[in-house]
Amino acid sequence: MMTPQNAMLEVNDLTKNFVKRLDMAGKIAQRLGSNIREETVHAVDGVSFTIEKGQVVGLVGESGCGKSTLGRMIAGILPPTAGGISFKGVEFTAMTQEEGEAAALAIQMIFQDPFASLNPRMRVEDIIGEAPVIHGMTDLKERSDYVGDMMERVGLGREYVRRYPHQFSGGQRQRIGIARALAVQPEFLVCDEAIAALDVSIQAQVINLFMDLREDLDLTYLFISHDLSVVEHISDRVVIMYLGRIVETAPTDELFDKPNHPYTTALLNEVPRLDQRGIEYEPVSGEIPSPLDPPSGCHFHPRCPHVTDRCTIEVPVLREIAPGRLSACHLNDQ
Amino acid sequence: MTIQGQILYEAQKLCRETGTAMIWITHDLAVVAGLVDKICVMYAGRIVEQGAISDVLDNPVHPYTVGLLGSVPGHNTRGERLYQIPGMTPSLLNLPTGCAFQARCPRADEACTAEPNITQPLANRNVRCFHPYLQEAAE
Repeated sequence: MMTPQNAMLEVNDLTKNFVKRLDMAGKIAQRLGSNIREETVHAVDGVSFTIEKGQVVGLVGESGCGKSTLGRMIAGILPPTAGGISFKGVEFTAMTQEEGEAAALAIQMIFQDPFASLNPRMRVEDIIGEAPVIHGMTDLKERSDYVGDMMERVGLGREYVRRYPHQFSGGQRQRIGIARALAVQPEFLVCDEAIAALDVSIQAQVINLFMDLREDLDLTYLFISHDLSVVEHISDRVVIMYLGRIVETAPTDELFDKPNHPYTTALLNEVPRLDQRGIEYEPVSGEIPSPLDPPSGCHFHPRCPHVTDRCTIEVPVLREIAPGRLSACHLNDQ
Repeated sequence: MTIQGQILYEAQKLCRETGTAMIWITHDLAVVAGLVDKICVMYAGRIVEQGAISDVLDNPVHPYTVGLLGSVPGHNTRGERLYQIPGMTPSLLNLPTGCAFQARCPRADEACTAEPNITQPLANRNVRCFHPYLQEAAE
């Protein structure tokens, strides 16, 4: 893939497999001739894309399509099985220790569940203040002030620094999670379903907060979500994943106005909208198949209305169909 | 998203086949829009607006409903700031006297410190508010 000059993050043929190892009983059974085998989940399967500085990229897909795994690899929480991630032009694995630490600080993650992602036994001051002290962005004496500033930046009162997470509401906790990520002065945020657990009115506040922070701090986002209306609202580019692979990527307007891949079309048709009334819901053709045993050829072919013989055999390549638009579908060859 | 559609399909099928009535409790207004006949909007323990789904979504009259609908991201708001209802949900331990929404309401005045009763400012619409958005709804 071509590297634009101002690429902030580049993901190249990234793959993550999870192998379910056999336990002792399984190994014995295997020795005795049973056909128990190690199972491999192809959570992320050869994914490549680029995020430019200052961009908001929305990553969309159904539960289990590998979007969180991808986000975690980018945030450095999970090691990839194969492929590479470059940050500002330097490959993760080729970085010196210092560069690696700098990149790890510059890429921060905001998690989905504001109830599970904060340590219930730590005060907010410690949750937000721990990392910046360790990394020398502030010291113990000035920590309270530093944390207070961070809290005000995300719209929380600085008088709450001594409180515990359980003393906050869901929306406030999500803000604490955001403040924690901002406290180490990141350049790139991976938001993994960061607003999925929030109420409508709180969701609006947090979306606005993300947009303000982007302007104030010049941040770049990878915004992982299954909520298309939120992604449409906030993103510059959208990446659609299905079963570990990217099926389509395009600028937001183009993708929503004229989806190319049949899966994108199907997704967009599913979006509940405020102006719809009395929908007759239809039984959707099948669930997302198990990544343990993905379909051959194009992963989407068992659910695709335009399926041909070729789709069941040959994996479609993600290729450019218009400037800035990529899609992986054999229909584009006709 | 597709799993959501499947669940909604099953729920709808049950209602149709067995004649079951259903209450769908959610904060997702877009789902409600396509699924239900009637909607009740609750705030701090009280139903503040109640009516047929199309009426309420197209012409909300309670300021809280108006605020909620305004904060939903959609097609027309791409890249813009979303409307935010100012302030936070009040603690139920410590509700103000009168209308619970008054502290966050753009239309609140002295009248709102009294308890609002349910009125029917429009046909088939129950609203608990002294200053509903009536002119706007009629336009």
